[in-house]
Amino acid sequence: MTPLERFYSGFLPDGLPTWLAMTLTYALAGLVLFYFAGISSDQIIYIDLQETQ
Amino acid sequence: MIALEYSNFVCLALLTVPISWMVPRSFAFDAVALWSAIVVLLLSPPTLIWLGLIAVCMPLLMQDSPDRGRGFMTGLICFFLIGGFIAARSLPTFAWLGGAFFTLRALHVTLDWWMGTLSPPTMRGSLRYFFFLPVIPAGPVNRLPHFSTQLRRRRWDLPTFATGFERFLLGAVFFFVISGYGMDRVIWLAGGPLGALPPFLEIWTLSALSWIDLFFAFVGSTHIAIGITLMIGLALEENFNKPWRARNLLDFWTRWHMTLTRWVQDYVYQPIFGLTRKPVIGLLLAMLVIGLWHAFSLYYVLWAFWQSLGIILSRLIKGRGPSGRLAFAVGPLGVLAWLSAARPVLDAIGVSQ
Repeated sequence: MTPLERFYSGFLPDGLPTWLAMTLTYALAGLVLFYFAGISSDQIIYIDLQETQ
Repeated sequence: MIALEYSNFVCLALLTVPISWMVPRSFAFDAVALWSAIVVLLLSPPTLIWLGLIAVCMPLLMQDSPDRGRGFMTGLICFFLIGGFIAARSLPTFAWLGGAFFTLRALHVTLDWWMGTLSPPTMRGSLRYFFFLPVIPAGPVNRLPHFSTQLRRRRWDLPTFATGFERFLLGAVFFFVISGYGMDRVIWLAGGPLGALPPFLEIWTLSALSWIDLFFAFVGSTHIAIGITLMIGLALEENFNKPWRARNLLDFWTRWHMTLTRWVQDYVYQPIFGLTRKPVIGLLLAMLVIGLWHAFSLYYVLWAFWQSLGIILSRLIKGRGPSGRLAFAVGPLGVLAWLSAARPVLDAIGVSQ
């Protein structure tokens, strides 16, 4: 069981499928990333190259 | 060379997942190491040379070293590792990709071998350990025995793969959306109204926002690294344990960047404490190592003293502060206030770099 599955199985009312909620969450995360990751893709993480940049 | 953006690295690191599952099991992590070496070559050729020297020379030197010469060999390897790290920081043309992380990994292998708690790594094991792309640029500072155990126990498990995918997504949202987009704009928008505050308060508030930004960037990059390794089938050491729940600064430093703080505890604090029996000296030197690990500057030397002072104060007032729900709220705010106060305090005495 994944963390998201565990979260939805304890949170969703009976009758609502967990897999649908999980799929929608993945899709939402994908959409958000598709939109924002392009804008912020120049983020630098490397500690030892940051100063050089 | 490929541009050094983190998004490029993430795309290249993700390819280790299909490589690890498509190549026959016996050679899967040799293929991952080869791919990692190619990526490191594309991103930073000096890193490939130095990391390659470490991965190849360490097993050769350790396996051929007689027991009586172990101390000398340890000193020699540590001298070159630390010297190389200092040189790379001082000479920008030799800037490394993730040098702060792989130097700590190499020192861990050397010191554990010297203490007799670790056998000399094989050449193949060393190459697999040092050339493991997901953890090269931003950690965690994973250790060789745990990594070797994970390689032996690796098997396909769909829930583990799905958990890795979820952590990867969460990390990407933290890093690219909340930190890269949201917090950048929050800090930019806050700049206007904060300009009306006295300079000390303005810098303090901006510093607190930067810590929140750092939290999302660093936790995000850790989720990305651990998510990719889970998709590969390995469970590496965790780096964070709900740092926002820390009740005091000592508690915070046991929850934040745990693989670094454990490294410093094992290889700096405990030996110094064992020699001197003075925990304050051990603490000061441990925090100094953490500070200089971030950057060689007067700012980080004084930053280390500031953090040490906070930890000593949190030990002194332990049990005397608020308790229950109030402590749950006040503790994390107090920790954030102390962490972010370092910048305005040091700025006030003229140290900003």
